[in-house]
Amino acid sequence: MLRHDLKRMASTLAAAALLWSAADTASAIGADAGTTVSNTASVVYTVNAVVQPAVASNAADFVVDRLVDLTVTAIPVTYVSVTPAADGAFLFSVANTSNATLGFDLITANNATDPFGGTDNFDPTTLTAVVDAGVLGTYEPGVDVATTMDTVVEDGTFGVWVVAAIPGGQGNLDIAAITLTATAREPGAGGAALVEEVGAEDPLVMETVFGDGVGDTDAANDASYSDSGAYQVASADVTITKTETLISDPINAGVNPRHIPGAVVEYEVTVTNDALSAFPATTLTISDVLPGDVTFATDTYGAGFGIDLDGLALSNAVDADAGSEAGGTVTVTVPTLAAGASAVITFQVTVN
Amino acid sequence: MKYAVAVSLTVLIGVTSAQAVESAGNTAVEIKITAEVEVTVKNADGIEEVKRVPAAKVPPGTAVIYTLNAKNTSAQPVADVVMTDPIPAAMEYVDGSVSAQDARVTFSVDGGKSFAAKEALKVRGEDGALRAAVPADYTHIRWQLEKPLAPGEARAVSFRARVE
Repeated sequence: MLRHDLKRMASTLAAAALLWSAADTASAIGADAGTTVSNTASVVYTVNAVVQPAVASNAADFVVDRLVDLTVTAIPVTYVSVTPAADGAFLFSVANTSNATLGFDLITANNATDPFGGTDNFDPTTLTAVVDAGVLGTYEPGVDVATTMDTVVEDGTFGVWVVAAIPGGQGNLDIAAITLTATAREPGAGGAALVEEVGAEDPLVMETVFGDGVGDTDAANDASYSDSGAYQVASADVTITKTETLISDPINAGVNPRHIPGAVVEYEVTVTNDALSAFPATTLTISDVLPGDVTFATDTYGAGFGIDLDGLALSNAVDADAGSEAGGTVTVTVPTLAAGASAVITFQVTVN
Repeated sequence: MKYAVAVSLTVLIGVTSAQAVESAGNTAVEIKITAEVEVTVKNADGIEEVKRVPAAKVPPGTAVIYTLNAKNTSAQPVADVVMTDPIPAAMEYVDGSVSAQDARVTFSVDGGKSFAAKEALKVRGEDGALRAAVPADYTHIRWQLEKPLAPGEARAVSFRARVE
């Protein structure tokens, strides 16, 4: 078998042994750091047409130096959808494309530039970078907790979740961009920072050379690499409006009525889930505390039915239907309101 | 990867020790090899120039220049001088880099068992079919000097190989 086939086979086996193989596109360079490359030449010749024994040369030896290289790649190609007051998790893959086993430290930060072309307009409350463990490709709080990766073989890749705590009440479609930076270091727990050798070189000593590229927020040849991702808030954007219509008064009846005692006023409360909302709003409770100067009209839509929800009369009693009135507070529950949908609640009062 | 290195080193050591035994007697030709890399340095005038230095800083991707120097140390002319050098396992020959002045250069793709001009080299691909060899397939380089070496005369040949 050809030596290059052997090499290829060996590296394929190494790749197959990796647990974390998502986005395993980066490929480390071939020669292992620390490998001694020895080269001995030979010569044969004749003297007076007599073949002489072969003569060997000295061995030209050098040790392959450690070329530190790594990549960080955002896995999602668009926003990770997050819910206000919950955690969002954005997955990156980190690849050790060096020719040596290394450890990696992880740092995450807010980024003002949205990699997906939108506008970054908020920062999560907290940002944490943790190594993907357990079920790979699934963020598991309590399982994915390691904040560094101590030992990554050459060609090895691993996943990193950047976990963002999204503030409660964050608006629908708001965007938070973040960056993950991985920095290579000596392998093992608490491995020291890598130092690029300067000065005299020794052919027989493995030196360290930085060969990494320019990431989103880091420079070339700094043993670090960075890439960015972004979260987009997906929530229900619910608004509520209230209008008042004077129906009649005791003197003028329905013709140009005035707000005089005994006048009948209709209130219309409209609850709307914005058309751009990512989710239906669920389990809405709409409460309206009536001012003291008015009295709830109990029988507007039938005896004991003083509340109307989208054309359906509701009883005033606290019962199975969605509406009730007690002590001057009108309460209506709406189980779900799809994006773009509205619920209209009407009831009447008389001015005291 | 390590496996391939180990295999090739074994071959290399085998050849070297055999040669050492054979060459224990008086030899008329001595051969030396050097490994160098090119670095860009600023000279005294601040102008960048490329210098060759011994191969010390050698991360993957580095092209190493191997120079073989054969010298006739005897009082008689020597003929049919053939220099052979294995391409180390972790390295790949840089196409077209061999110096071939006054020498017939051939390559081996079978660990030095046979040599041929690069156009004639074939290897069996992963699919089992023969294909033209590429520089990555080369295992050895051989120089057959066209002229004898007079007493005291030396001849240098070189090639480049890149660290994988």
